Amino acid sequence: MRKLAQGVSTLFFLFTFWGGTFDRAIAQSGQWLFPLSPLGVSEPVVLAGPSAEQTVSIPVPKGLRPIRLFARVRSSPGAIGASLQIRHEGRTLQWVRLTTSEMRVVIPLEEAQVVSSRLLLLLRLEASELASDCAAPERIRVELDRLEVEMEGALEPPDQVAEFWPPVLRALHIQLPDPPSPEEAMVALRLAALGARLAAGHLFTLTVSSTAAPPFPVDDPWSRWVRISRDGTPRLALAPSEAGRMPILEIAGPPGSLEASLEALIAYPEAFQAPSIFAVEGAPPRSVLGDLIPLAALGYPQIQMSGSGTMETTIFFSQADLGGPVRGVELRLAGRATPIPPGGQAQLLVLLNGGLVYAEPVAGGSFDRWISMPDGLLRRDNNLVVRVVYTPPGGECRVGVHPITVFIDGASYFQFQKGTHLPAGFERLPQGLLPTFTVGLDPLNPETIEAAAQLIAVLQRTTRTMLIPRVQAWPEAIAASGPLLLVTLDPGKVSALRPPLDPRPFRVIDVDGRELFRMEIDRPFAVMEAFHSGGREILLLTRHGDRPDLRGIERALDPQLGWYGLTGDVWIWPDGEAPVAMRLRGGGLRVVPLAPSSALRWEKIRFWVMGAALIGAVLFLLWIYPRVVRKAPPGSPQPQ
Amino acid sequence: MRLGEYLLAQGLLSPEDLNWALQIQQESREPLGQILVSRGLIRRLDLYQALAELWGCPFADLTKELPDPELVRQYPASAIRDKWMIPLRRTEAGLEVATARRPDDALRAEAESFFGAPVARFRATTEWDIRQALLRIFRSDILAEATYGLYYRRPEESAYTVFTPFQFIVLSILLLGLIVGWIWAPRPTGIVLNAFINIFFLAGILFKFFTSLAGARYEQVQAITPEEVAALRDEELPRYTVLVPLYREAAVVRPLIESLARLDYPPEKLEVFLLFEEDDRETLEAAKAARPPGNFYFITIPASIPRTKPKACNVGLFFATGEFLVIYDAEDLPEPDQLKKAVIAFRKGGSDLICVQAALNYYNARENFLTRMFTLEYSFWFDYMLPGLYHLGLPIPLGGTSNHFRTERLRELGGWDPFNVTEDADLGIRAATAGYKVGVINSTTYEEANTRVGNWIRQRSRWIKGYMQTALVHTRNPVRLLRRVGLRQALGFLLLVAGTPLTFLSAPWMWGMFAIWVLTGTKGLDPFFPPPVLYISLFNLLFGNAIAIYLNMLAGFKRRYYDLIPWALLNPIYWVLHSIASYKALWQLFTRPFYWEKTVHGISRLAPGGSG
Repeated sequence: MRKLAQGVSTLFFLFTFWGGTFDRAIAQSGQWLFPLSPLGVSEPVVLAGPSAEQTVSIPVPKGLRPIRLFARVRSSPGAIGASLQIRHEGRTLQWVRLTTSEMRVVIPLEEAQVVSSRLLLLLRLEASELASDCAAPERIRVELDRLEVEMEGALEPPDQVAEFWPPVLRALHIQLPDPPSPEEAMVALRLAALGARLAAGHLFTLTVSSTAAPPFPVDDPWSRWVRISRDGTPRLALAPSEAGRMPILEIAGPPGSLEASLEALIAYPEAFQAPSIFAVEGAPPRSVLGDLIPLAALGYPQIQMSGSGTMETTIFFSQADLGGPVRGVELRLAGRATPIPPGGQAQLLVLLNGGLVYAEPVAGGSFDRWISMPDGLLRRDNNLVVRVVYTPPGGECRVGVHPITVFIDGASYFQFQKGTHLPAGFERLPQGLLPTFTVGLDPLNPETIEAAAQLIAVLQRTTRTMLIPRVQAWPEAIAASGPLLLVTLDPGKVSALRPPLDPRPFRVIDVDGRELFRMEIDRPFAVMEAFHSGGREILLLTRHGDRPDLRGIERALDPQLGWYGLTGDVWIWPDGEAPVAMRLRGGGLRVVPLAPSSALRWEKIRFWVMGAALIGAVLFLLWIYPRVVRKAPPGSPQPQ
Repeated sequence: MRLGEYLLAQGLLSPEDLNWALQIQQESREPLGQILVSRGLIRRLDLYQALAELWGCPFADLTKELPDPELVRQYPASAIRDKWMIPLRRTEAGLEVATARRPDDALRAEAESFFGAPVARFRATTEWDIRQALLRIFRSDILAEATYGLYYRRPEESAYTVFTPFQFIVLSILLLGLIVGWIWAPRPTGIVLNAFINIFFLAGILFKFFTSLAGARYEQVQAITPEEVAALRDEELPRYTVLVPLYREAAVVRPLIESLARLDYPPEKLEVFLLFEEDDRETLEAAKAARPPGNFYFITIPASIPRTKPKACNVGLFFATGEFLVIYDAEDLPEPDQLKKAVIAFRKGGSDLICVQAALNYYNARENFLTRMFTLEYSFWFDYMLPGLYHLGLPIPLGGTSNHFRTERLRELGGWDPFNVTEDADLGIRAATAGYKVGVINSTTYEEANTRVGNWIRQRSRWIKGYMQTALVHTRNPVRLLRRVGLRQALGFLLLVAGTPLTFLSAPWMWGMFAIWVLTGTKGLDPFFPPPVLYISLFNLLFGNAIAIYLNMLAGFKRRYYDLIPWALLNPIYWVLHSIASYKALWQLFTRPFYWEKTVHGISRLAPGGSG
């Protein structure tokens, strides 16, 4: 039965994603047209202000060559007359004068170079001289959407392990032995984390099963199939498939050897586009009091703001990006600015999550500042805005007249201490799971593994730091020290951990006694709880009743926000209904058990009542048979 | 001397009556004796005693001078019935034969050929005597034929076996599977069951709706016009038999006889058989006291199980001599020209038209809530559904009364199934499967609507049980059913005959779930209503019930029962009664499948022909 369910699940997956991929990519006689939105390019691409730039990274599968980029350009009235340049490695590929509010552009890409399976394009907007305005730069705004890239060539499957991962991963299927061991489950979970890292910025589908099926076709360049198998010799290799199919990446070996193979896979440089870190001139750090991480490691190697009026850049970082739960964060901000013309004024502002944490006039030349981030402003996911407000001499804001340039050095860094000030709950994750965490699965089967893998993938999408799960057998996992991820189909097995939700029929009331939520016994539901127990951060996923299928958890979470959409410490997902998140501990809400209802009483006696009905029905049928199934009239004469 | 002159001479007849009878004879071409008896101008016994004198043979009173049973049993009862001559005894000179026909040379030759022996002498006797003698001598044979005739000839069409072994196995699997499903997989089981019920419900509603539309078109067609009836001449009319099974109907037997006596049909061509059960002396005595005309015959049905109306009708069918035959119930008031309309319908309908059904309606429609609802229901059934079924060529389950048959075709079909408590509906389906047509005529028989809930439930439970029996009988071999009547007719049969009980059995569960949902707001039922099932269920609830009520209203319009139309809105209450009756029927199907739930008649406060 379980195999059947797995088989059906796999077929469903294959049907869904092969079909889903084909409808987006239109291939005809060696030419391919890929919409960029599903490939991680967030639309619309917005260029705002008198002088603005955006980089677009186009993934290019092996064997294909980009030849054209199509886009719809929509301009605000203030942007009419501006020019849009599409540049590649210092050369302008296309120059477009924005003459109408909406136009379709075609950018030739034949001369562009693909590097590491990606093509980087720089979109630059330059307003006309008359159009610039210090006071209202938002009047100049250009949006590009419906981005599609046309490629030509023949898709080639990877022929070495280093080429296995595509530049953009949209679907990953992991095939496990049946039954899987904790080590194999761990490899699957780490692959899920890796897959999520390769799928930043777009939808990603992850499935796990133990059923063999034909892998993805060659003309689906964004999907990959990994098979974990128990074998004599450690092996990390591409297993050839039948014609027209992608090869399968096979991770095989005797027990205890799989993790080494996995580490080797992750270590391949081609697996990641690791950012380069540039050295900067300026004062060395005065002292390092705690851990530190440079901006370059967060994906901001160098920040440059040029022009007049308000210029700003946003640095996004999560606590997990800093390596774990942090407090006492300080930013060492180093950079330099071109001289401020006489009569002009410039000011440097730093805001954390909307709160101003630092401000000073900019006089030109280099600067090197320590900026403290108050713990009260620090969240799980943070937006740090570095803003320069520059008023040129005489208020002359036209482009090219008295501009300044401000550089923020990528060697600027965050310094912080370990610890957290956030309340227990979803906001402490994923940073609470770092550097490694224990995973307990009960039962250990593809269903729980897939549910855990989806959770890890969802968590991984919130941070650059790789999550490293360690799967252990259930008893060891429960007893392990350190952070825990538990997935179980039997909620009774975690009651000793005292999760926030008492799973009996309950209702949730607020401080005024108003009922906010009610869960009767006849409503099966899944529940995810994040709590602190025994000095450990614990993320628990379980369900009460036989539904819903935990493998649907990724779809049940907010499709846009994912983990970002979660607040509180309990997330309840009633079968067939929209999930709801709440804070039960420290949130002013109370869980009140419901009095046993008739439904509960029925549920308790249902088996016995129906059993009695079954016996009664059998006896009735035996009794009634000779009365209703008659062979011949008893003793009646046959008529002439 | 001729019969008329002899009767005048004997003072048994007045000259005026004789002249009148002779005038009638010129029109109808029937024997004078037949006319005199049927018009009540002379007693049958006097007539045949006079005939004995004229024919020159002594009269035989077979109630006192019983024929030799061993001798009689050497010949088929049906042949004796058809020839109207019965051997009395064997003498050295040959057989002594009693006859109701003129004993001439031709009859002698026919008798000697039939009996295979010389006829020593003829004795005159009455048809009634011969009939009574047959009933006494062939009692067990006639009873066996009436009871088991169909079973032995066509066991697959008899409801004696409620379930075939295969049907029972299927039923057991479904029942046990349902319970096991509720134990191990309540949700899928609930969804499947729910979906089945709702889809079936929906199909039933749409079927009735579209059949009614077809019936509504038929509204414009006047099948038989008064001019056609008026143009009929008595001499063209065939002999007609009326069967009226009676059991504990002493209260209504007098108005019944009066009503039947008013039928616009030459009495000498009409024989009315009042069929009494042997243990029901009260009704028999009441009938005698009503002094029925001479063309009314009493037949006493020997007591045996099952004591059902169809068994009595089968006995009546055995003795029927009419070309056509009709069944009436004890409380019926047929429109006087109904038999003539039926004759015209048969003549227009072709030889494969085996039966025409007249509409039924109630004379006490406005007595109380129950009679109003019953009237609306019957108006819809007979004014929309039956014409619709007829128009669409679908099998018509006959109503229990006022169905007119070609007698010989009915005998070929095997008569009524005495084990089926809606033998009429079953016969309609059997006729369809045999390739015959059933028609509908624009004539109404007025009956007494049930005025008491208990009585109504008893009657309705019998009808629904009969529908269950009929559905089980005709689905014993679905392939054969399909082959005989085709897919469209088979579906129509299933939706109508099987669908009616299923609908009323399942409806309380759907109402119950809806009520629980409304009153408690529980979400516990949600898993059993995935969106497609929910939408169908909602459609059934909102539109299905509305359509059913609307059709009932239309029926009120057609009959011009305008004051009854608002009552159609109370149909849901009436449906609850149907469901109660359905569960009673289901229980009886297993425990007392052939039990005839007697409907008590004559309890209405309104007189027949009163309020309308």
